[in-house]
Amino acid sequence: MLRTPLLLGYLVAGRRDLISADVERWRREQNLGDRRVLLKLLSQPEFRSLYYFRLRNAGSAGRLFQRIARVIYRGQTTLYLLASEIGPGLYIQSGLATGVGTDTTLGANCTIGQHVMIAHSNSRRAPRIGNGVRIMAGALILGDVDIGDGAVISPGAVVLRNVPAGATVEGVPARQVET
Amino acid sequence: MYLPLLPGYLIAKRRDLIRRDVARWASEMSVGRIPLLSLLALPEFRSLFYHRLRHGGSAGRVFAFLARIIYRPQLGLQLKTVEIGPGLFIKHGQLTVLAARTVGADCTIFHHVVVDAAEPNGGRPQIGSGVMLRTRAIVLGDVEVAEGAQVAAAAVVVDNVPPRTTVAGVPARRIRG
Repeated sequence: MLRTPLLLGYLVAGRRDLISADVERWRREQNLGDRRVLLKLLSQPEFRSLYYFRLRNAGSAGRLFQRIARVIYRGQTTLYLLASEIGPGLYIQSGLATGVGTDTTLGANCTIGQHVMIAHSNSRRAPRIGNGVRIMAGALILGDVDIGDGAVISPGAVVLRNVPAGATVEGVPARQVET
Repeated sequence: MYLPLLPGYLIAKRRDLIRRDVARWASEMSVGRIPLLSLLALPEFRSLFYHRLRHGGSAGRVFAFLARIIYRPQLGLQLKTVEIGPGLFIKHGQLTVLAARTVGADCTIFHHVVVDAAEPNGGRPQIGSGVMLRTRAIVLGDVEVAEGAQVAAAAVVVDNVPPRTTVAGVPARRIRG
């Protein structure tokens, strides 16, 4: 297989548990079966971007490996994962024009759609996203905000205020539509 | 300079589709004496050209695979729908995801458009003939954008759009037709 060399990254990774959780989540979402799942996923540029993020943030061997690997096996174009922390099992849909800015933290099992931006605005503090949050295509989450566990950010919403756990918000600027 | 791409047309199985595409693009913009040749200079047209080759026989697939290394397609233009009707016109097309179930004939899409499933494993939109999706329009989930409808810039569509209407806003509402 063409992407077999990338498996070496998994072996040198500092946080294999995080990668395994990602693989399990993507396998479930895409019905990939049980065999050679990591290899199948590594053919998707958006998964590779996440894989490189994991390697970059755990151990110097992983960091070195991803620096070389990403030259040959490119990650998704215009997908920027610069967060200070991403919980296990993040799922990224397509990842085009998607940015998770610096200092942002993401909980476990979040889902991020296409054209999503999570970043600083004028404030110094970046958004803090809880566990199991679904952020749909075109949504923007900006500035010093907390998004509670299990919240759903509707497509195209612009979130500038805190969102309580379990809430769904939509619109520009985003308002809660149900609890 | 784009002459080496012309053999791709000759070996393509779906030359009829490519001819309809060229006719549509030539009606939307000014082209030279050999329309296909001047259109191949556009990365967004090349993306469509490669899509036609990829889904028309193994010779075309191999040709597209090699050609796209030298003549790059548009940045982040993902045409994931297999059945795209003839005469799709793409304006700019950067960072555009077209992952509908089917796309009808003579549609128009701009840049930063997203047409995809709402859930990772969910249903996909269906785009009718003559539909126009303007800049940064987002169409998500198992919905139908019917024939001749228009989706305004930055609109977010999560419900069906009736034929020959225009919708706008987040979430999108009918504003015309």
